[in-house]
Amino acid sequence: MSRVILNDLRKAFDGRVNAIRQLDLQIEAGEFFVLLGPSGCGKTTTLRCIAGLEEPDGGQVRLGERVVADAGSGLFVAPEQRHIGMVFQNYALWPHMTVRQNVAYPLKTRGRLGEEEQRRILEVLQLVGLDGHAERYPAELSGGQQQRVALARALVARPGLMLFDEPLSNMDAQLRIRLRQDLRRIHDELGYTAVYVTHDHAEALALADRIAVMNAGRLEQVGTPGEIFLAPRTRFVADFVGIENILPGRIDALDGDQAQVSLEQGGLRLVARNPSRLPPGTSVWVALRAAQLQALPAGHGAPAQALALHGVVSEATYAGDRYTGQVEALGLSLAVTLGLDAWGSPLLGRDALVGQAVRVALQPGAALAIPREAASEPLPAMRRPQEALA
Amino acid sequence: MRTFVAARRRSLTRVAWSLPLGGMILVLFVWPLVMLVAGAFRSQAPFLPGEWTLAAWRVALYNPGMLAAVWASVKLALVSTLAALLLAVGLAFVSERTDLRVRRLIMPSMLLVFVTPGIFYAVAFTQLANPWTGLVNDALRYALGIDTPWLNIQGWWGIYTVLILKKVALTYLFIAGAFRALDSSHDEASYLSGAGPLHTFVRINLPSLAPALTSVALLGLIAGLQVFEPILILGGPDNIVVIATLLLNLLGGGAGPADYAQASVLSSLFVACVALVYLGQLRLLGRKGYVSISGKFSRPRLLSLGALRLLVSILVLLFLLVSFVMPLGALLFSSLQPYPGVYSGFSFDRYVTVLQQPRVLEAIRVTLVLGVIVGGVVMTLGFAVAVLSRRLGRRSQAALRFATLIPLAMPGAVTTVAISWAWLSIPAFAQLYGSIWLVALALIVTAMPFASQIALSATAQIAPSLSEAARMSGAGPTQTFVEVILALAAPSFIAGWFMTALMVSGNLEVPLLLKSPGVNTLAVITYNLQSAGDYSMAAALLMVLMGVSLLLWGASQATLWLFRRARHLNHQRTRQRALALAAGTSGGLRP
Repeated sequence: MSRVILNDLRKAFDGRVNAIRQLDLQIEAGEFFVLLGPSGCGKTTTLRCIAGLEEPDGGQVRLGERVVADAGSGLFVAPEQRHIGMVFQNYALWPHMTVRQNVAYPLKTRGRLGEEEQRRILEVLQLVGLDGHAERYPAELSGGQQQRVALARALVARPGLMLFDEPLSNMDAQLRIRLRQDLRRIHDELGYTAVYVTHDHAEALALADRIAVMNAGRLEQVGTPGEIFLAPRTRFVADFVGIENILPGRIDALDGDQAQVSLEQGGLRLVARNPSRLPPGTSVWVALRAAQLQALPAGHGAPAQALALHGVVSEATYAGDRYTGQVEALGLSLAVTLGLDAWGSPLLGRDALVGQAVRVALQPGAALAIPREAASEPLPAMRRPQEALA
Repeated sequence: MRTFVAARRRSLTRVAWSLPLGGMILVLFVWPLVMLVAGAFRSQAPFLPGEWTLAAWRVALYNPGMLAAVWASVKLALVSTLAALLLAVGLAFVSERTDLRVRRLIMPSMLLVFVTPGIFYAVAFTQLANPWTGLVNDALRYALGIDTPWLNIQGWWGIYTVLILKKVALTYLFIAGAFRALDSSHDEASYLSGAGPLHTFVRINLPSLAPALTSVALLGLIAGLQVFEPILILGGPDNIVVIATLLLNLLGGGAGPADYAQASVLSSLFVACVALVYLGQLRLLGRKGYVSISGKFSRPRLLSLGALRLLVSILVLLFLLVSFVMPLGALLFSSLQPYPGVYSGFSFDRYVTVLQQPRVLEAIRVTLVLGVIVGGVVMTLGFAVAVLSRRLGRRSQAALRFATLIPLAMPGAVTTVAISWAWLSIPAFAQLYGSIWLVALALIVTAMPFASQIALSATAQIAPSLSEAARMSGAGPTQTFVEVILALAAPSFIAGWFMTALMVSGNLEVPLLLKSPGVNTLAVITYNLQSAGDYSMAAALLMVLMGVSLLLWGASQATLWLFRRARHLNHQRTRQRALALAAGTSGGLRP
């Protein structure tokens, strides 16, 4: 088990923008830590700096008490000297070796293969559920099995730190969920520190003790899955964890942990959580999850809720246990949920829903105030129609 | 403390890898080029007291002989490249996309043609179709009872024939290889859009092979500009002079005195032109995506030629006949004749005579040693460059690769001359003058572009994460190179070794121009016999050269087999050791 400390880490690639800029991060021993972000945000570069596959341009990497990279003094420990296990996105199994030879390799590089080592290879193959496949070649295995071999190879030398570079992204959804559970189980059994890179927020939520969301080479937010998902601190994180409605507003007054906010468009006032303790007068983003905005038929019985606003359905998509849709109200276009209990039986088509007059009910505590700063740029690809109004 | 030791070790390995390699590349590839260009501005031969001057340039630019030679080279290069490209594309289509039976013959025949040395072709076609004793002419004379020769291989026609046949093989191998690597989903998408195999070939396959096609055309052009052996052997009667043979004359191989400055001017101009063309191609292809290679290989749909079946089959067979069966047959036949033009008393006497000469036995030894050693060294260098360049920044990467391509831009003759001038200035190398090792070094330089291309494409197929995984498993860079890169690329390495060994054993320019009196290869002796008019002996010797090539091929196959065997035994051993252990104990994996 080792703690990982990144100190003012910087890395640029020739001719390109900075891949990592001034990264400070402390990962505790035994923690399952996930680096989350869109492609090109620097998460993989960070992982490769920890591994020693990239040499940082600036700053320090420490594993436990040991400094393994320090740009200031020119110190750099080669990857093979760091005693880290790593699982690659494309498995990186050597096709000319059998499963056993692949898994034996990290032990072989560190000395003779004795009885003790052979036993350990069998154990680790059992642990990943592949004990019957030791004599196969990688090409004879399925993708899921190949990734299990890669995991076994990374684990066999009992590293205190395991790195995962999007290990599940080449697999189908069901396999991904099964392997995800296995990864977490094996981590809990063996107790190593894990650093895991992914762009899939569902994967991050399922695996992590803590998550760091990265954007353009910087950390946007570090926190537990709950903090990241329920209380994103920047607009980027809110966007990335899938909050559909992010509207410009302003704080009018404070009320304990809550704040009275008014939306710039339509002048709507509502109560929002204010974890960042922003003072009155601050320009904010008001974040609202569609799941917490219920669109009910206009004549539906009035629920006792803080907000109820009238509008018209402009868009509806069937999503299994509910509809998702857009409602036009007060000049805003809001992403909402249309519950099956209110709209579902008998199942209505899209055409029957569009044009319906609705009342949108907001669950209390659902809105969140996020500081509106220039530094936190939204993802261009994820822009929503509302932003044209903002 | 530990970390400092480790850190220093890493930088040491990096230095240990890159410094000697970089130095070697500088000495082997860059320094000769510098000396070459400098020579064009000197009034005297290299290392004689002289002064800096532009005189050579003035003379060169008003020299009609030089212009004629350049024009002849350009014409040869353009025509032969274009013809070879058309023929090769046609053959590739037949072999990869039609259901003709003869298609299975094409790939092996082209491989054979490709690895057969150029001198073999030039000599074989002389035996086949020279106007006096050519086998085809004699056969026609006998059959039709006419007196005038029908075919005359001496001169332009012969040179074009030999050049095009050789070049078709290279072009075909390049195109067919790229073809097989094409993502088959592109073809399938085209079929579903309503196009048949021929349409798909023309509209989808050929355009997506544009990078491969332009590269091979460029290589063909450059090779055409440098053509040497066929001119030497077939160009005599018409007095055909091209850049390479003009250089030979300028350097004192012909009648007149040596003019080093003129040779330098001509070579520098040549190198500059090739560099420009090369950069142009880089720019052209830089923006487009390259051939997409995927792991999915499905059988492409084959076109049924219907009524054209017979015609196309006959055409293909005819081509294979002319390009391989007839030359080989002619050499075999001539080697059994007592004298050219005499059709009785066939025997193996020529072989006995040839193999009894000590200088021939010595030449076989020298050729084998040169082939094996140069092939092995140049492939190792090529792989080292390919692997190292992957770890460098983009600019240093390009510079390193470009350096190893320099010999490609210099005709073999120029390379040889540049090398001997450049290295004479370094005392350690000067001592090598006249020895087999200087010839070996020069051959390494000329074979390097080829070797580094093989190494680059072989290592490009090995995902970087495979070596990274080895590093993470605790293997150092050298161990990773041996156990992952070389182990995976072994088949390419051995194939490349064989091909460079063949190129080296058939090379005529380097031993001829380096004028190392003690170092006679089979190619040099063959050339001497041929130019002395001793055709039957030359033919017998070439058959011996073929035998040596087969020996090399056998050796390469044996090496490959041994390699696979060793891997298999290793696998068996680990398996048995593991089985010997009682399986399953309690988990002890906690770190």
